[in-house]
Amino acid sequence: MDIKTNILFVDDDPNLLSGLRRMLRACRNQWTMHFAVGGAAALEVVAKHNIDVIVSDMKMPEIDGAELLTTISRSHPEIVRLILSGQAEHEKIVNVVGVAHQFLSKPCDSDDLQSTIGNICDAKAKLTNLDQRVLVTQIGSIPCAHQNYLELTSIFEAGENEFDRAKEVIAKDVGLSVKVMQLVSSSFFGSPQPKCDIPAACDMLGFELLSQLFFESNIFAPMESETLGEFVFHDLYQRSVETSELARQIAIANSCSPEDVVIAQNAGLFKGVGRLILARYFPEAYLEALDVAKQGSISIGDAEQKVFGVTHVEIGAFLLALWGIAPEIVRSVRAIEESETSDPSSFGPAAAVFVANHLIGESDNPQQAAIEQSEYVRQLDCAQQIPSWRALVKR
Amino acid sequence: MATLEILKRRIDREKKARLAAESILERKSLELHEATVEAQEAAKRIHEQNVKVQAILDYAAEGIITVNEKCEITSINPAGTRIFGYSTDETIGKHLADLVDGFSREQCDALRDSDKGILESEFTGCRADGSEFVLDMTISCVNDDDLHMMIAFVRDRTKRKHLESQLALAQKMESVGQLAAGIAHEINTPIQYVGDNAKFLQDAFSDIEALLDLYENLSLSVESKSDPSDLLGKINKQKQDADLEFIREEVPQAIDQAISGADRVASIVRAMKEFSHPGVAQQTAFCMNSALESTITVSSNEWKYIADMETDLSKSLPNALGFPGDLNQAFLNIIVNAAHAIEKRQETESDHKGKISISTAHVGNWVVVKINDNGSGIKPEDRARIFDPFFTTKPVGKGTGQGLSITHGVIVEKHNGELEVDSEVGVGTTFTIRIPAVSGNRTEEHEGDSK
Repeated sequence: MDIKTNILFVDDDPNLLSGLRRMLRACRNQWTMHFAVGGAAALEVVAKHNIDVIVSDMKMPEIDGAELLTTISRSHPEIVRLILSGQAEHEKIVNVVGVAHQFLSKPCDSDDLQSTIGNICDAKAKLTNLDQRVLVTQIGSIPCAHQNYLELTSIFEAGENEFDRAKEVIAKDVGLSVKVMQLVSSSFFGSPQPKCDIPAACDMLGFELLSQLFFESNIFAPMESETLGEFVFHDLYQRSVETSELARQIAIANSCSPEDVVIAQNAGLFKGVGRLILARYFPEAYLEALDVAKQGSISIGDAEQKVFGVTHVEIGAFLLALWGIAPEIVRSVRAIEESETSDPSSFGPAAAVFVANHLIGESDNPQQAAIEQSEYVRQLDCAQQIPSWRALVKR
Repeated sequence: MATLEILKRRIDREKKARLAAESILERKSLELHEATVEAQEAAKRIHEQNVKVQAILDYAAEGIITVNEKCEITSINPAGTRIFGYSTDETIGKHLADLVDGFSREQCDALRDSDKGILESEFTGCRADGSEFVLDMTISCVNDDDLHMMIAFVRDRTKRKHLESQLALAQKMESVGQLAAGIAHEINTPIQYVGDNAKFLQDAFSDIEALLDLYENLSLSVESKSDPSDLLGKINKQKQDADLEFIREEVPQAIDQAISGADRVASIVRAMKEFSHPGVAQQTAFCMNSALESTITVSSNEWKYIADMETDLSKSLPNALGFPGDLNQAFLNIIVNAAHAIEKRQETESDHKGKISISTAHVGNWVVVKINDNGSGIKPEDRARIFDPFFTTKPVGKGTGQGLSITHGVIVEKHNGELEVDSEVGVGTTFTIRIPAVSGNRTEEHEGDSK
């Protein structure tokens, strides 16, 4: 079995490919690299080898990057699709937002390229179920709440005066937010801003572009149904917002830096991504998990583990890493699962998200163990703060 | 008795006559009264009319001048005096040609005899202070039986000319903005591989350096006659780790490609500088071929994914005379249009291979440039309008309809050159541009010989 990651680089300039080949020679122990001059050659390589990641230029004669990635997303949905381009025209980039996971802009140094691909591969390696992997690389959007979708439609029709309202709606919806953060976390529309809050991310894109993306691409899509069995999607969106707000307040209360506060806030919001994916794309299995949780009086997380072999956190973390969301945010999402948390010596965003998630869970589910019993919190040595955190939980 | 009777009858007659006269008088005086009222009303109406006419004359933004048959000015409105800077009294009696340079009595006569009786044209106006300005003038003849005169409407074009030049600048900024994105793309690719190769050379050198250290030790060990086998083993291992074969093969290429990438960036930057020619306000002698080459380089991102570019630039071309910055702009507009036309044709003929050919030749006193494309061609009904400002067949966002209008202005008006279009729908379009050559050098060619 080939344990190296197979990476295919595509560009219409052979000099660029040989430059990459030489520069990335240091990675030859982890990566098997393939190079294709132009889209047609790339399709041949994809047909012959098990490619894991494709890194393609945008502007190429005959088959351009957008067309190539679209074709590959259909024939080989499991391949991770990245753009490496000097392209700066928004008009052209809009064609690629639905199909490229990340956008690296030329010139891109070897460290950035290696860490980008490395982060994705690490997250992918933790997901052993092939169906789930393929699904995550396949999807171009996380469904948003139906009500938010309708509201945003009318706002974008109304025009730019309503921009502030648009930002509010996006910021309270995990599906819309995660897409907006994907667009600003790599270089789709300018320099990456992976650690900004959601309204700032909206500002970076601007009303006009957001509105164009909303109407012309399919990257924002509403959840088709409102419930799955007894599971009400609205509650999930609501929990994400509550966790996000609580994580933010706890981070502030523990004197985290402004950047860490934003990381905690975004991670709190994004923790629901994985559950949305499972419920939306594997509804039957998810119903089973809900049933298992009810029958066996275990937490939904444990039930997910039983039915899917992973928890929603792993699925969500892979999607976030794939979409180029800042590693600190992905780490903080992972921290929800106690075994993943690390470094209890200081109170960072990961701790804030862990605590916030736990407290929201406690109030939802009386069977859940109280936070005082958490080994992690004990190590953090902050038992005296627990009452004040509890007071922050609004019900 | 008879007398009495007679007298009575006479009195009766006279009474009747008086009555009749009285009634006539009454009627007449009524008529008179009515007539007076009518006259008063008419006078009032005439007065109102006059006020209106005067107001029209006084408040019109255009200068309105009347002249008699001898072309002498008989009246001028306030706007007219403002435009020319003369007072009314100074103007009356002057010949129209004193105010409007180039307007002659002959023109005046010809106008009167013509059927239309209207002349509309651009003239040079002469102000009282001696300064000149561009004006539009429309003259119409009044040829009634008892009234012969001409009315001239005069419009100052100074402001409009100013706006036109601002518009031209705006178009230039717009296309430079569009180019900037393309140039960024053009430069980013070579910069990427220059950097990649340099990074590789750095890694390769550190591997080689480790090897060199071992060789150094080896030479010391040979000198001191100690056993080198341990070092040889290390050297072999380092050789393998560093993949010396690979380095030997790749380093020279990496250096070549890094240099060629840097050259590529340098040539794009140089072309940008030549393209814009900032701050050249005077006519200069310049090489048309290099002007075209820099425009082609600067615009390459606009055409290279759509068409091949073929150039056939005459080696025996005299210098042209003019403003290279403006001409580059004009050429750019034509090249961008050519690319768009080919793109349009490829929408329906997806395997159509686009080609843009640019040639230069020396014909007569002209430097002749031909820019040909095999794009969609210009529809016959559009051909007459392609140089009109704001005329465009492109979708919204792709063109403002100013490109060719400005191109025409630059070539024909600014350079006293010629611009011809030859186009067939479904075959392509050729623009032929003739710019005056600097006189008295080099041999001539015949137009079309350059193939």
